[in-house]
Amino acid sequence: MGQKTVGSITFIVSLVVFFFITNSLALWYVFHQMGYDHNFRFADGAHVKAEVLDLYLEYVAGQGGYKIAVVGDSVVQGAGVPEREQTLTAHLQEELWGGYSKTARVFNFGLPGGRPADLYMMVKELHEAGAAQMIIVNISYPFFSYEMTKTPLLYFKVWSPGLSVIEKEELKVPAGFTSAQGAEASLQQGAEDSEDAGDNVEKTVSRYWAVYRFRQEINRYLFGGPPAVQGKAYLDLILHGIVPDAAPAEEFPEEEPLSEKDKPENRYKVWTSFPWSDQDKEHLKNVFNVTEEDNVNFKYYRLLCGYLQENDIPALIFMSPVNHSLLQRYELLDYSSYVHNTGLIRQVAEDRGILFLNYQEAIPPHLFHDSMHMLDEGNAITAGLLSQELQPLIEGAGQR
Amino acid sequence: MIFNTWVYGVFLTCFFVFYWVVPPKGRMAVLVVGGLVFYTYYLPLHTVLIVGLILATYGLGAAMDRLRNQETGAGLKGVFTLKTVLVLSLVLCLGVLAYFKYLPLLAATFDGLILLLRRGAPYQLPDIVIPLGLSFFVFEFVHYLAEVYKGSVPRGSLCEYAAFGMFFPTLVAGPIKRFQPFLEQIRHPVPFRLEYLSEGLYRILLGLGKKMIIADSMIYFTDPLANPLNAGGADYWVAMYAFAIKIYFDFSGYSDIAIGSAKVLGIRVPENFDRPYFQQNIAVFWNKWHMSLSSWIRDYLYIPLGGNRGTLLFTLRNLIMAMALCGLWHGAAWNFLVWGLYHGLGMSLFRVYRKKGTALINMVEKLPALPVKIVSILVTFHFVCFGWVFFAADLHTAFQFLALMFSF
Repeated sequence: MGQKTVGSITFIVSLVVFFFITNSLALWYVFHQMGYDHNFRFADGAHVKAEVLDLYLEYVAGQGGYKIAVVGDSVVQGAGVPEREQTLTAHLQEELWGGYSKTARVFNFGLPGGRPADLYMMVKELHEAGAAQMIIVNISYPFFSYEMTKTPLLYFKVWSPGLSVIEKEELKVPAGFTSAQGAEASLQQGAEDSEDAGDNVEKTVSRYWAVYRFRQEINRYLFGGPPAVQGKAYLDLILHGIVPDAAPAEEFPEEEPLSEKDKPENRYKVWTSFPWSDQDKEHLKNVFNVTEEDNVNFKYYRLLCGYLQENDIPALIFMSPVNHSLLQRYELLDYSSYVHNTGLIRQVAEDRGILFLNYQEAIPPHLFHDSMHMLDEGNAITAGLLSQELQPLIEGAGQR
Repeated sequence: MIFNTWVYGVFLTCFFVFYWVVPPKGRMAVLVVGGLVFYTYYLPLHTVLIVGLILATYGLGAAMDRLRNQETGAGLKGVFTLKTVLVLSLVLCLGVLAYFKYLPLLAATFDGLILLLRRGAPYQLPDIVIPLGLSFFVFEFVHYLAEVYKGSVPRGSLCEYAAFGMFFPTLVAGPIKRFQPFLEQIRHPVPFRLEYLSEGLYRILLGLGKKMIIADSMIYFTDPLANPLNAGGADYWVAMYAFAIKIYFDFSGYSDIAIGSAKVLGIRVPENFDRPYFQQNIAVFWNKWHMSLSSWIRDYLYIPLGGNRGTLLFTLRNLIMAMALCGLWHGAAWNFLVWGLYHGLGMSLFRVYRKKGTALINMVEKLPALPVKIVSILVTFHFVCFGWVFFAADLHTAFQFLALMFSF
């Protein structure tokens, strides 16, 4: 074989190897920077973007081991604790690794402010992506109150492209958004109709070549933005002393907390350490006021259970622990309805053959930040309880 | 089809496979078909134009060939002379170029004069879309006709000539090929060798990197060339250097992709750039910058004008004329003419220095070689950079930009 041929083979093989190595590196780097490999949880508040969810699903789907996705609201997300390691899912991961399953991986899919419709959509996404072997769904009692049906679904932008007109209507997707989204969708459709082969090729390449797909993210993480833009900003600074505009305070302007519990100084403290205003109490009374009246959240809860059953998805549902001391102190809960409604909620799950765990009285009051959100130790205890219930399921699946 | 698009990547990949699968005898036809597909993708109507031009210029070349041959050209002899056919063919090629590229400039100038003199009605110009790569393929046709006229190249078959004219890697942005070397390669097709692929891929990747990473990044720095009043201080200098970087990497990147694309098909096309910014005088710069155009200008403009076969003034006139036309070739606007004249004047000054500056040359030769070399490179580079201002902006903006550059 001639020297040129050997050189050519080396070059081409190097190109191929380079392609695969950079591809893997880019994936790892971006996922790492997003924090997916470190007890990831979605951002506080209703700030989850569709692309973040898609990427996270892609990351989880690409992981090995016995994957458990915990779907829920801010209780799962960990709104009562500052660190990722203190969340329910992080504790559950520790419990499993320290106990009977070395291969289990627990992923946090808690959407702060999420409702049964969000949980239903999330479960569908997880199932369609084939991302997890088991799904744990966390249901909170206030989900079913009339109060929680009054406002639009917080994550309608994330799910909207897949929602039907009826779904948009019953989930109170803002009318303006519906029409804009419709216009956008029709524009998108038009663009798709007219787009040339090049765009399709670009999309395909983008799907399989992470370096290209994540070029903006990689630039942002490595250089703080496109290198040329950064270079220009640096020159402006040197030549004119112009300080680059601060990153747009962006998308998520923090609102002044209305509640004492949400003020920065109280955020992760036990509920007894700060005052409870009449407004806070009124709000709690409303969200815990669950009547027998059927509503949209109950409908989506039934849909969720039905979906788990129809698709034979290994799953369990647990009800969030409740801080009864707080509720009783201010007489915020009608206990006769509570017992009755809890029974109804349980029945929906059990009728569909889903293991239902009621943890509403499982955690002592001093481990709560507020009525529902637990402190670190509360999450740990709940994780311990879940771990015990999971043991036969995981071992039954042959994952130790 | 533009090189740095995905669709070109797919096209080249498919064409590469198809080209090497087809038996060597059929490859010439495959090249023609590939060129047709490539060109039609951009604007089908213009394919008619390029095909028409290929047929017409080939026919005129054939006529010249016959006229040179006493026996077979006897019928034509009484009607046309060899020179008449050459002139006709040049009028055709340059007429097409003038119509598409320079009519808007003339019309705009005419309208400007009408407005100035406040007499007559402005000329309503139809919307003209300039065919992709027009300047490049017209120059290749002119070269072919001129060489057939001189009898220095074989006329080739229509298919060979069509493959030359429709060779897609060089169709959009050169390099401007020469017929004979190309003909020899397509007449003697080579078997596939792995190095064609590796060397071609290397050039394509290099070109894409130059274009998309370096050249495209420079746009963040070149805004003062478009809006000088919105900038200040050193911004002008940064913009000028950035444009110099941008235009070199943009154009040489494109050339690399063209050369690489040809290479994967086992075909060599001329190189276009050879470290032009590291040259010590403007004459050598032009031997290293867009080399296929420079040699075309030399062979079909400068030498036919008389070249340096006369007095120094005659040579300077030819230099300035050739460079002015070279400037207009780059774009149909007066700033390109000024850019060409600027380089023509620069080359004339250098010519005068070489011919009449013996005392100065002797003095410079006594200085240490390295500093002289560095200074020469810097002077040449800056001469070229200031010229880019005329290339990048219309005349008014260019002069404004230069004035602001030096208003410390």
